[in-house]
Amino acid sequence: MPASPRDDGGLFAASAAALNSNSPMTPTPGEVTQLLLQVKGQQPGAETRLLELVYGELRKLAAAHMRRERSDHTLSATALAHEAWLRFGKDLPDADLHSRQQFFAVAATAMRRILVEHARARTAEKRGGVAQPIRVENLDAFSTPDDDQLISLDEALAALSELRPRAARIVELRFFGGFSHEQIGGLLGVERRTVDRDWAFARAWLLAALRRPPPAP
Amino acid sequence: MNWDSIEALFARGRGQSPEAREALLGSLDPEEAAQVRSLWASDDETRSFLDSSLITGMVTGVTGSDALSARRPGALVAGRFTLVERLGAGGMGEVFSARDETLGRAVALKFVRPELAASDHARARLEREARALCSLAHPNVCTVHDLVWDGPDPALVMECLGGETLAARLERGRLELGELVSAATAVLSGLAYTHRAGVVHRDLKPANVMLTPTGPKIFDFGIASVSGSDKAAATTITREGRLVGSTSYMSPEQVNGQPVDARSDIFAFGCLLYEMASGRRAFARETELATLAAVLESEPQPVQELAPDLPVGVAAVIARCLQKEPERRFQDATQIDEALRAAAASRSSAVVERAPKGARAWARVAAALAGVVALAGVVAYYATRGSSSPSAPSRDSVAVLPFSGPQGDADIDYIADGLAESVTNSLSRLAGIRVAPRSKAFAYKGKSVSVEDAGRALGVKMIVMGSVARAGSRIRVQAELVDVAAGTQLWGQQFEGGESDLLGMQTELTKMVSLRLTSTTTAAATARLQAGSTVDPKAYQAYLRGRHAQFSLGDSAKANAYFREAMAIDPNYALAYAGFAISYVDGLPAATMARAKAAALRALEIDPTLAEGHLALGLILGWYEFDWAAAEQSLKRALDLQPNDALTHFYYGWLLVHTGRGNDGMAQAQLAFGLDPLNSYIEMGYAQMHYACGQPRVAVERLRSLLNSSDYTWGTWGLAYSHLMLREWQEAIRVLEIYRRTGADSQVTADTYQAFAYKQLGDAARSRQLLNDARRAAERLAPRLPSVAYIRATLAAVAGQREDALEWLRRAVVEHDSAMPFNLASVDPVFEELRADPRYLAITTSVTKAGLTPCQPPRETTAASSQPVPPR
Repeated sequence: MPASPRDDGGLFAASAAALNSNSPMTPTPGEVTQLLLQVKGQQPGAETRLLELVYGELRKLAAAHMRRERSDHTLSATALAHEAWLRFGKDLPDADLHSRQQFFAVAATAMRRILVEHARARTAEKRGGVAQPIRVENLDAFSTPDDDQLISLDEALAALSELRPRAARIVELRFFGGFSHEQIGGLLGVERRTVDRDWAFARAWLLAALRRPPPAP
Repeated sequence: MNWDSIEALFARGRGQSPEAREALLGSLDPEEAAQVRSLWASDDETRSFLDSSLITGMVTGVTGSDALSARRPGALVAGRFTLVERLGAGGMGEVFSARDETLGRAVALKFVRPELAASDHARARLEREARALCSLAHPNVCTVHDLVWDGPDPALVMECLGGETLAARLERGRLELGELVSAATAVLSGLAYTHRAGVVHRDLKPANVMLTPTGPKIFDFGIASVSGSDKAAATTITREGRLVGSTSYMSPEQVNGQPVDARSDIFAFGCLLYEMASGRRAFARETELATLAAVLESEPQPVQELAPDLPVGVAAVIARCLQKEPERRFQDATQIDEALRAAAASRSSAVVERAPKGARAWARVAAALAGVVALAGVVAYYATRGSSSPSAPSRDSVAVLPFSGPQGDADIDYIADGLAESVTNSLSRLAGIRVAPRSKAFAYKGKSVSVEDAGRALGVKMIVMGSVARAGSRIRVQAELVDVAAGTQLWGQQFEGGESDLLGMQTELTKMVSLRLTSTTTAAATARLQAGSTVDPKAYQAYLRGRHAQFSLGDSAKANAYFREAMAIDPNYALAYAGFAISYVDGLPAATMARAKAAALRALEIDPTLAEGHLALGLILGWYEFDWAAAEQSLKRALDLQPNDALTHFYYGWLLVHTGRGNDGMAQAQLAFGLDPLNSYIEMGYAQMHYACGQPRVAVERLRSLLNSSDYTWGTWGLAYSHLMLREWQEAIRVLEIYRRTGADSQVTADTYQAFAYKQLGDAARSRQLLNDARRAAERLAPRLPSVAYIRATLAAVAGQREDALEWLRRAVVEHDSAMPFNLASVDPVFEELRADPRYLAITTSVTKAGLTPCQPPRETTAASSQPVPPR
């Protein structure tokens, strides 16, 4: 069966094409390094710009992945992060652990956005735009969440970050970024114990939130 | 709602009894209490929710999840196997010891990650792999009996192995040679067998080798891929997005997500061997990412440094396994087995010899040669003392074309380079012979060219050419001297011998060539051929190693060790002393400078006409003792003896720059560069000279293009310095960040100069913080360096402590801190605010007058001035 353009990557193929046409978002490795240094130097706006760059790049990589992996459209989060790192990270000084972690912290946010967008696009395709409530019985499946789970989690996370921004950020770093609690503590400048506590809270809160029926439209 | 108190109560009540919890809630607002209860309920229900990240192995390296821990000992699986004990879990699944109730035997059950059987496609692939594994039968491979299903979950039934894993064994330290060889050959036997069967392990590591009472067995082929049958499955990043394999043992192609084959296992085996020999992982960094980067880009610490008694042949085997490109590794396990046995066996003969250090150095060469032999290019080129026009062939002009040989083996590059250098140096001592520049002849490396064309292009009358090949355990060097115009062979000879005969062959070759080149060969000329040389092949080899390390690798510490080795073997080897002295001067300022000077003097005592000895002495007199006048005499004497030595011109150029004769200095450096344009050490130094001479913009351009194409990371310092001179603070900060990683000692400099740049940018807080870091780093360095006075001076200057800075500068002069000339104290940007102070000028110009006014590039000058440039 000949593949339709959609099968070849759906939303991502389209957005990648847009991005590829002389996109100002196309970052160079040097630019990323520079921005990381600026983030380290606490320059205002550097982190936002960095997020844009990493996000744009991850999207492109995602599109490329979708074109390659035709049989099921599972995004390989690790593969994406890995590729992004190989592209930008090489430039970073070895000793600068902080910048490296900063990169992945930003990548975690970008990854969340991408995965959720992707999930929304596919869900819209399938069900005309209505996300279904999460199936909470199968929590372990969250190690490889399906589209609905991802979308619900994203919304719950957004709600949590209104209440407890740090706790929400910890979930993002851990779940979408693959950071350990030690590393998160280092990144956020809090003690490991605090991370443990926030994490336990966030997890319980999210689970409780996901269980509640979705608010009426 | 008050989320602070909700969160606090939630934390306190976790894991408590319902009664205790209710007591905690006390008089809380009912809505908030309900919220806390709901949180507790959720918390109780699951601890695995969100536990495993979507990204694995990238930042944390933690891959496993608790999601699989539902199985408990005692459970019956597939109606036949009773689980006994959970042995472990990893990224690939969970392993239990179990009892096979039907056959009444102990087995191991490995529950494969259910994702691997999630679709029909995956299930088919898993079954195919299991079939391949079940068909394997070898004493060094764990037997796989069957694939069974526990409901939807697949499990491999495997032989139950007793003993400890190699990983557990390694925790107690490295293996002795005998133990190492027997374990390694057993693993190789298993690997060779499975590879022949078309199965690649893909996750070979110490934890996957069990040392059983009947010998080592490889296990955990769980992610092995059946080669050829499923290309897509053979990549590292699986469809599920996991990075398969243990990062420390991954091959570069695995890290890059490219298809893997048996040679990936060979890389992993190299890591294994490295670890067995040294007790340390070849590639292990603080994070997974750094480890991945190291696998792709770094060479492991030389295993000999960690295991000094390791037979060098074994080290060579390891190095070959760890080549980044699969093509350059051993191509199959059987080859390794042979090489390893031979290397281990040769140890006994090496021990019999009296000079163990030399034997080791030599055996290293032998091992390198024993790999693939390619003496790729040996070229020497010598300009005459009189004529300088290469276009007019003089009667005795010669070019040595690169020797040909089997293609590409970096391991023996140094032999090629070293042989060329030796031949070059010997021949250049003969009066009346002009030799084409080595750099120009190098252009013919790896190319086939007619003798006539080469002769014309190089402007020489005669050409030396030849080839190197390996015949069994012996080396064959074929060389000939050809008359370009007549196209006839004047002389040709084949030398053959064991590795220990290389020196003899080189000497003989040089002698034969020179005999035919100079009709007036005198006894004196022959003696000059031998100047400073040794008769000991081991000393010679160590010397070549040292030269290579110094000038091709830019690694002074390593070079220094080799020169010391050569001196130990032959205490009358003048060249080795000279090399030793040079490596000290050129490396870090060393407390042992006195030893270097003694070495140089000793070299000249053995042979007063040894140019290298005068060069070394000159370097010490200038860059260490700041006695530039005496240094100049020594360097000039060295140039008299060896007028076309690029390196001497290069250093002489710097001496001129330091003494305020920038134009002349540039001319000398340009001359050096012209004599040896392929020497990136000189090229880099020439580029750096531009900033010393007030042309930082040119320096930036040159250094940038050089750094793009070379491994010479120390050039980043010059680049950063140039940016500072240009007041390009951001760029300087960025480059300093790169410079910081070039060595442990770079940190203090990087911090200090970054602090300076941030200060200029108005970021006082950042500047202060970096200064504090730098101060701490300086304290750590202080006991190791003869002087940190200059460092302290820069620290004080950036901190705005003017008087302290001046005082430390004074101390730097007294303490002979070689950073004074190296950092060009008189123009160092961090002393900006001191520049107008006459005391600063007095101090710095007492050491060096470098670049006080901008110099013109040499080609733009009409007559080079030898007048010192007046201070600004």
